[in-house]
Amino acid sequence: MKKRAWKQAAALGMAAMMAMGLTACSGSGSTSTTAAASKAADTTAAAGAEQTTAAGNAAGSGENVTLRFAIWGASQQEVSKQLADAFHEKYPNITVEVEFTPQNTGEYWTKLESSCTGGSAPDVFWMNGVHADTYIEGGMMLPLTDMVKNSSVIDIEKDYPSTLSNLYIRDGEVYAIPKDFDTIALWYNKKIFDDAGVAYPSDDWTWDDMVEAARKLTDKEKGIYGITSEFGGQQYYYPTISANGGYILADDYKSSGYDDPNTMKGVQCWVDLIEEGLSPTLEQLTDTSSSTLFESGRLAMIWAGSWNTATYMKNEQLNTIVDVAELPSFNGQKGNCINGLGIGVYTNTKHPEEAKLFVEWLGSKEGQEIQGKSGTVISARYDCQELFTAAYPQLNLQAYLKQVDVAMLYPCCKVTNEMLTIEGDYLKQAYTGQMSVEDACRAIAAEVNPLLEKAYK
Amino acid sequence: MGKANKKRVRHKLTRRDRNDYIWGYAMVAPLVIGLLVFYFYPFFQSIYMSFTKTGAFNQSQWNGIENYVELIGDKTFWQSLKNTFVFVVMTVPVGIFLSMVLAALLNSKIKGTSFYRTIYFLPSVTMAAAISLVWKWIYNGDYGLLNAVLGMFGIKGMSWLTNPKTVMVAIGVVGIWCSCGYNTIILLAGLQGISSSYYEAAAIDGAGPLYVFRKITFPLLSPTIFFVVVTSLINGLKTFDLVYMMVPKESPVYKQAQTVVMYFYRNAFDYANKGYASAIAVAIFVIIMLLTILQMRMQKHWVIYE
Repeated sequence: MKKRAWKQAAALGMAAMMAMGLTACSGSGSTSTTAAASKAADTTAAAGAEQTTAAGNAAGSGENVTLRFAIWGASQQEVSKQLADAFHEKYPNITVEVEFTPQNTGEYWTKLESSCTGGSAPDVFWMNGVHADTYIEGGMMLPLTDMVKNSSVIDIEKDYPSTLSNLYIRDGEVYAIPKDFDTIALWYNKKIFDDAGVAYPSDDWTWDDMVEAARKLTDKEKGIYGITSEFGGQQYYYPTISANGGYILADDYKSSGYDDPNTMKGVQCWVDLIEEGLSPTLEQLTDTSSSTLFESGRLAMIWAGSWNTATYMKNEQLNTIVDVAELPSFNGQKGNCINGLGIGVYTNTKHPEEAKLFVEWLGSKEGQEIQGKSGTVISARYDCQELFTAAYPQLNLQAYLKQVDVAMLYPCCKVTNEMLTIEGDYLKQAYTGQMSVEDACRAIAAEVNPLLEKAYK
Repeated sequence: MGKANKKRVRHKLTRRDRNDYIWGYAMVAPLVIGLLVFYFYPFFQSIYMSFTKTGAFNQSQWNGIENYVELIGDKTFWQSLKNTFVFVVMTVPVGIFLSMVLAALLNSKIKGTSFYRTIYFLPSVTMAAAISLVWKWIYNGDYGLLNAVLGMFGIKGMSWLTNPKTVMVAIGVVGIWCSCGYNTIILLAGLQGISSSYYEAAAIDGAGPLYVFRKITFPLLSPTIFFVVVTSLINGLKTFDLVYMMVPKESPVYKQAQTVVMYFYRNAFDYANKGYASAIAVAIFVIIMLLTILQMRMQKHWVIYE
């Protein structure tokens, strides 16, 4: 009797512990990187001790300082380290540690948010328009207004497109300096075009020209597709929505444009591609992404962001047989989608002066040049944008720059995450044919509009 | 439980006793402190947070029972709970049955038992992220290994992970494959704990193998089976990593595959809505606890302690 009762109690206790493990995981933050970073700081401090006095007066307090710099772009790890090294050379008492976190499924933001909450966030981090409101309103970003005003190397109004800098300006306070921007262009595999005897895409193509070419290029027996209609806003349906004259957010943010007939047209064209069999289905593309198909030579044309350039050009089977063209137009109208990153400073950083100095330098011509020359992204500064095209002169990378003026800004508002979830839930049903595009768009508007009204009343 | 047990005679502590106590507490302190910091504190914190509106960076304000009211009307929550139960119902019975078969095989006198044991246990100690990547490729509709093998037999495969009808089965298979090894080892330990004298006696009396299983093996193994059932059920209800890795947000079947813990994660970290996420966590806790209590009650009908 006694033994059994004990066993029961033990088993129940054990079960409760296991169940508790579940609730417990909601509270813990991540601090694992701090130890490694501070350890690295010790070693570099020792190594750089002699040089400190020479340039010490130039850099804030002049003490040996290590800054942690958080980034998410896998292809930009190398150039970020170059930037850190170049900065360290100029200011030998400041060492910058690059901390990379991938963000395909949002890990970067999960980590940044919990480390901000726990007080151990990186001193300097990448930011984007979608998350800016959350971090600025949450008081996690140090205002950089003074630095910008006194800076001799940054003139935020003259050096940067206002579309990009305004993403991080609230009530006149500057919270981040634009880093880069990206637009979308049409990449094509010349070999597939040659094999099928089809003329290469040109910058003045219309959507119908592209579809016509896709018809000729698709060869299902060989497993080759002309084009893909992957599910995604930024690289796919936002550019076509903007070319069709539709919109996602109204200028006052109080309503959405999903139920605008032009917005629907911008989505319908992609669904049509799937229905005609010119693109693999959404199911197939979930298994094997467009980029994978393109990189393995099974896809003739792909809509891809400027950030993909470095990846495609590193692929040795691909980099000699590809080129880029502007996106095709609808009824004579071009469209695109522009999104920009910025770099901000953590409010509770222990080294605000050094962090600001680093951000200022990254935004200066010197920093933006190093980034631009790497060919990974388009530098945000006007005087460095062209460098992106110089990295791969054999490609028509001008296509990315020429489309800036027609591009709509990637939709950012206070409820972006909820909005994009609703958008995804319904549009996926349109892509798989469970719902018409019109019904799906109306359903999105019906759910998103009340959210926006609430957030911006 | 006799009353006599409660009235313990208090001995006076000798110096040696006290020394022993101090050492004893010192030895368990790391574990207890760890539990307090990483389990108990967050546990109660979660319960508190479920009554607040907590946004990004833990800025919270009292919200009463509103999170729970919202939860009851939240279709996505119920759908994800349903998905989770479908997963549990599919994987737990089959998984335990297979584990028992494997344990019985390993318990028989065949060569290389430890080799097989290692092989079966391997998935349990492999990272879920790695497992998911490999299985994603196996299940790939166009270029997957599974469809290639099926193709050899003239069967046309499908895109297993993006079809609403097959996605949970496909992930369930991986789930079973992952957990089987662990359960097998535990069941094997249970089997090896059964004294061979019972089997010898049964053999002398001429009992057949099925009869032996029903009357000797199963009853004597029942406490171990009970343990395996309880833990499998809890683990099944907490399924997260496999599904999270194998079904991305862009997938057309995300809604049909999202488990309740994934929904919790999404709210806590994607939407920065930690108050609501805590309410989900508490709901899962209550569900698991109720199910476990139910099993505790039921065990007297089938579990036999020697």
